[in-house]
Amino acid sequence: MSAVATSTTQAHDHDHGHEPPYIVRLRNNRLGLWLFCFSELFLFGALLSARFYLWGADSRPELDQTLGLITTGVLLISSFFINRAETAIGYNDRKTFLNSLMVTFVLGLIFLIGVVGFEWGLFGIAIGDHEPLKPTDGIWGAVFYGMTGMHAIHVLTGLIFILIVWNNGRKGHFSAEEHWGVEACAIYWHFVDVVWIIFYPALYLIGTGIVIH
Amino acid sequence: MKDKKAAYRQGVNIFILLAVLTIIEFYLGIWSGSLSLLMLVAVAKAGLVVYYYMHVYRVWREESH
Repeated sequence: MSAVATSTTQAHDHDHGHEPPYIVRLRNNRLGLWLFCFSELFLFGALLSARFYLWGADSRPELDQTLGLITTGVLLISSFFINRAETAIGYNDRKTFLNSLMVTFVLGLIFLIGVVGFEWGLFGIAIGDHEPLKPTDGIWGAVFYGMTGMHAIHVLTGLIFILIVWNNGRKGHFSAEEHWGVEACAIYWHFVDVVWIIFYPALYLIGTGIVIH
Repeated sequence: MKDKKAAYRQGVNIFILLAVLTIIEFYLGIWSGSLSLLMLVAVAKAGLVVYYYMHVYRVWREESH
């Protein structure tokens, strides 16, 4: 019995002895996350190609420009705050870290409500002087809902990620030396922002607006 | 490692640049809707985020946080 216990303890020590140092794990984690982001580019790239193939380079549906600019601005501000959160934990500034993360969450939620609630017309409130696009509006609705819907799902998962990191941070996890969870969350959130940076002009600005309804 | 103030300031400066580019982009869209011009601005914005906010260079540099 005692021999088994000793052997188990030795095996346990052995495993820890061979655990790569934090800097090596960090490098591998970063590479893995960037490969994930790269693979996601194929998905969003396909949606962007569909937009140009079906709508052409000189036309788009008429969408509310103010709403588009506001949602884009809100997402950009959220990127600023998650960067601030990551910087703060790098200096063990826990209060700024937690507050900035919560501001990012709220801004992400506002973005989601702006797109799904108002642009999709789920609240039944007409934006501007035309009705919102419907998924059944042929190529216009299909591309618009495909692009904004796929992006919205990523925003939603990003919001869940932020909440988990915030909750762990509140419990005292993460330090200036080791905070891969925060860095990963920030990279993912910025990636979602980068996708919108490309989608925003593709949906709202490129070409001449065509009134569908 | 950069000092704390400089690190925070960099985040603010990049945000200001992104905001200015977004306003330029908005007016470009209203006035011309040119694909090449708008994509140029969008790629510049994406580049700023990928480099300064996502720290892409850390992938090939053995760098801590």
